[in-house]
Amino acid sequence: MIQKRIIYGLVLVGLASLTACSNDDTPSIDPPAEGAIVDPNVGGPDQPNQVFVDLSSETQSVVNRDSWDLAFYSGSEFRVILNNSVSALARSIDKSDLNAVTAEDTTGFGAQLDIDAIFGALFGPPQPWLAQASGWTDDPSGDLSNTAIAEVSATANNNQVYILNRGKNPDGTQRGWMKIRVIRNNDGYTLQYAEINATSFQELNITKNDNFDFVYASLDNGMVNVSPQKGDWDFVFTVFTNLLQVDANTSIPYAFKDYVLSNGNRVEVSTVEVTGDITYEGFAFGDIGSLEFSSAANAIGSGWRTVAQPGSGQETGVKADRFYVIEDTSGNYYKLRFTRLVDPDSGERGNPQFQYELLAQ
Amino acid sequence: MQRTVLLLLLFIQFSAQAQTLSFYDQETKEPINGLVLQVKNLATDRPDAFLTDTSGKVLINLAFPLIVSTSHLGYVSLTDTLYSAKDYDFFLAPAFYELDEVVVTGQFSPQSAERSVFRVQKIDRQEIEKRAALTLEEVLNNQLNIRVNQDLAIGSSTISLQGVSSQNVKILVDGIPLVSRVGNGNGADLSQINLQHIERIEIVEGPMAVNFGANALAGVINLITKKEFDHDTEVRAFVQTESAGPEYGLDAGRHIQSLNINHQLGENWSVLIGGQHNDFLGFQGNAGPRQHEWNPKKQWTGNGLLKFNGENHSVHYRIDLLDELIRDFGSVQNNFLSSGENQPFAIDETYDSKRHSHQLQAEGRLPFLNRYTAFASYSSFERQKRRFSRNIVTEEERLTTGEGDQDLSTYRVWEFGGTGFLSPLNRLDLQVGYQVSLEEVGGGRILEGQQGIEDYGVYASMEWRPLTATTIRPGFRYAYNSAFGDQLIPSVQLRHDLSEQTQLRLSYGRGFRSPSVRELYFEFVDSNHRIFGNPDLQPERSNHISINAASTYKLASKDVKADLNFFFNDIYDQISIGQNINDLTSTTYLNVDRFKTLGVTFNQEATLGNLSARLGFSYIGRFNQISEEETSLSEFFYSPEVNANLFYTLRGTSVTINLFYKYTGRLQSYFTDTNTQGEQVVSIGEISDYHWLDATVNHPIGEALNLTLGARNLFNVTQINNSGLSGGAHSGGPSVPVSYGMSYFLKISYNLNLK
Repeated sequence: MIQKRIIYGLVLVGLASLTACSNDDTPSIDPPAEGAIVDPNVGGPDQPNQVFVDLSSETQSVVNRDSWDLAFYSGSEFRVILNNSVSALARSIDKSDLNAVTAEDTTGFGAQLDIDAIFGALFGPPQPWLAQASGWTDDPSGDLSNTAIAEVSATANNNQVYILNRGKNPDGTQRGWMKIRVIRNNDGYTLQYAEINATSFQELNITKNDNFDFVYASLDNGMVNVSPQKGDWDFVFTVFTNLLQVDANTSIPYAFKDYVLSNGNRVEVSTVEVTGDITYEGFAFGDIGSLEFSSAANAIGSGWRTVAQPGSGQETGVKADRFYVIEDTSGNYYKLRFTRLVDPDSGERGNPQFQYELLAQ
Repeated sequence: MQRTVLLLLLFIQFSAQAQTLSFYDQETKEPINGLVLQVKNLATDRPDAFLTDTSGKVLINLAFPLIVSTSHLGYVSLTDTLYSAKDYDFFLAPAFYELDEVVVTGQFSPQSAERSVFRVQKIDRQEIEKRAALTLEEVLNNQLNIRVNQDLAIGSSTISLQGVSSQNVKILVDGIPLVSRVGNGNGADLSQINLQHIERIEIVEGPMAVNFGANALAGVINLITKKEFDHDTEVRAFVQTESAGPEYGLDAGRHIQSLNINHQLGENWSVLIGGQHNDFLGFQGNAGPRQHEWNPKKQWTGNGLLKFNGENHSVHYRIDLLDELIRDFGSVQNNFLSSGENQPFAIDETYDSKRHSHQLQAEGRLPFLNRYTAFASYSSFERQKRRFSRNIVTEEERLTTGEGDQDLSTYRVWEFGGTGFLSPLNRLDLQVGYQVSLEEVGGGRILEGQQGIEDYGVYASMEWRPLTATTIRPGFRYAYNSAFGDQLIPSVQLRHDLSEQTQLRLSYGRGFRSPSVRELYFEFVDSNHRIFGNPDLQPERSNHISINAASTYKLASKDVKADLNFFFNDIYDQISIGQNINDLTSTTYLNVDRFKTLGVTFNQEATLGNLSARLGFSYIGRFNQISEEETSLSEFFYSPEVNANLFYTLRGTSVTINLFYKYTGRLQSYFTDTNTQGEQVVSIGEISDYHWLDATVNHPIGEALNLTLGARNLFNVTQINNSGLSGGAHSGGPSVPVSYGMSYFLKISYNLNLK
């Protein structure tokens, strides 16, 4: 039934890139969608999918979150990010020759460079390395100057080898370990990668594509399509490796489900508190002036939902006390509220629904 | 002596000018039989003694004026001077005080708490009635050394005793462990323990491991049920209605109905049957529509007793039933169908707990034993958790399908035991006993769904009185447990009477807590957690020392009972969740922690005219784990507690006004942080202090009716702050729930006694 409901919105992965050339510089002539109720196909409790949503075209683009490992920035800088939807983590080795890195260099990594081991360490004796763990994942704000893998230097020898824990598949199985190194290749990148003990490595050349903020690579399948073009999505439903503060100044990577990342810097989000006079139903274009907007990727984040916790009366569901006003990538203003988090039949998470409406001038 | 009295009585019968002195119970107006009356002529100083007959009368033929004084175990003594030769009527106050001093927990035979080798505290029926308390939680919440913890999510309340958690407090019913969802005696949810048939509550702090085995490391709370009846037929019924904070009505607050009948069948048999309905309709507070800050909880409880009282043996069968339903209503969530129609739904949860326990107990004399006790019991606790989705429009309900959404947890225990008492030598009493418990625990997150543990114990102890004023009680228990093997637990207690008014007690005991089935065989894996039980766990063990001085002194010619107690608990191999060294990505349970508590308690108790007062103070230190590494930090954090109970009888009436007060001090703890320089620093956090006050008025109306009116939580405490929190996904919250606020109640009870 959910599948039927989303037919009107479904765009196959890759369609975006096929139509990329024709769309590139031509502004959309279709009028923006008036609004809809959308059931993003997150895929239930294991949340196997990342669902990119474009409000103005009423579309969602669905991709398996374990279909990629690394994403390469298409902008002017040379930056690489990890697939945080599977909790991949990376840590540098003070060597720049991939073949020179052996299992010896990774002694103890299994007990540290692993999302579950990091969590487990909270219950063991104090671990001095725990304070570093936040550096093995990309900054959850999306700040590209603070990524696990350092900026790819023009000087090849300055680019160190990284040990990559590829994270966990949606079913909980491990995706395994790789050693990787990224160097520049003219205006693109070359990714070198191999099993930890291998004495030779594979290479993948990556070309930046201006239509996308990032181009995506899988260590199994080479280049893959993940996100739609940079102007064609407003936010994405995903599992997200956030930083969880465990004491005043220590944060650890921790996977959040049902997370909403907005298309940072292209989309503006304002969170509106429901009070006596301010309601979703009554909110109109004229009310926008009083709002404050944020272009941060985590502006919505996990703030739209609550999850039952042991010892508290809190239940799993949406927060009814707020809705959002979003200025999308095309400059349209929409009001949006999440209507549910769990499936009404199974009661399981990973079954969100939201409602949105164009705020017309 | 008795013969003299009879002779005197005979003589008096023939006297012509005899005067009649009649003695009656002040409350029931019944004549007092068997009262000893000592009489002394003022002029001659010649003493005489008489015994009242079944009509409570004594005939005396002596020259007045006379000084008379009464003596009866059940009544407060009275001394009076009678000047003129005429008939007198006396109404004596029943001395509950003395009767109720009898305790049984761990004793060789029932005796007064003052005679016990170790310290036994008790809460009697009168106090339970005066508080209109229905569950164990409601009487323990102003007890010193006890803190009650509320879990709003599953609607349970547990206690810590002497600063040690509820897993180490063993709750017994007539000496047999009360089975709950999480343990055989320990970890019990006090709000599920009904007091309808409880005659008194005996509390022994410190491990009673020799007598009661595992999980009594902090102490035992023994609920003594009512088994003796004064009349052929007794009917006890009451209705009670309470507000929940300011919320009250037919669909709010708390409403209780209770009925209990006991009847004597011939000379040897008695039977009792009772039931109670305790319907708490929840407290909505600031929760959204459909939701509650305190979830509705409906309890049905039932009890039955069949007792045979023979010449040398007494046997009884007792059944206790509990059916509790907690409902957790979710908020309304929208669900838009493809047609655009909204069919809102809510995810609701229910927790349905059922307990039935059967006890067969016998006690009596055997040719070779002064006394024996024996029991066999079977208890079953089941809790069915259900989660379902309710369509608000169609009202259709459907069970949800997520992992762990529907879960049946079970705890079943067979328990057998027996104790024999003998006095092989003068000044020496001996106790030998055995205990077997067979536990079977099941649930969704337990390895293979079900696990069993068997525990066998034999024990012996003796009370030896080398001097008249000194008793020494050494004891040991040898136990074998199927999960962790065997162990030997010693204890030794000493009591010395410094004078008739002052006793000194010393106690040393080893205690242990068996790893729970959950700790041994737990299994829980989801995207962020991998927790496994550890079948190699050893029990938590402790050493306990206490020193007690109890004394009665005079204050303005009234007796004041004072009790000073010092305790120290040193627990090692404490079980804590920790990283599994064989699989660093998972956590498990490990014997790693050390925990200590120490404290001092001072109690005073006196009756001054119409006022009876109890005042207590305690100061408990709890160990800081962090101080093991950071030796500069203080080893203990101390927290004070004060309690006071006042009972005042209005002059010339039987109306009593009762106050129950407790101050619970702040609870501090260290927690580690990392500062901006990345260094580990230690901060102090605390759970705030609070005051609790209940006030009740008890007003008997005629013989059968009794009215109790009261207010609970007069300081209107709802939540207390908890600043000792660092961030984290499961840190609970910045406050700790205590209550839903100031509430009022009215209780009307009806007591009918036939013969």
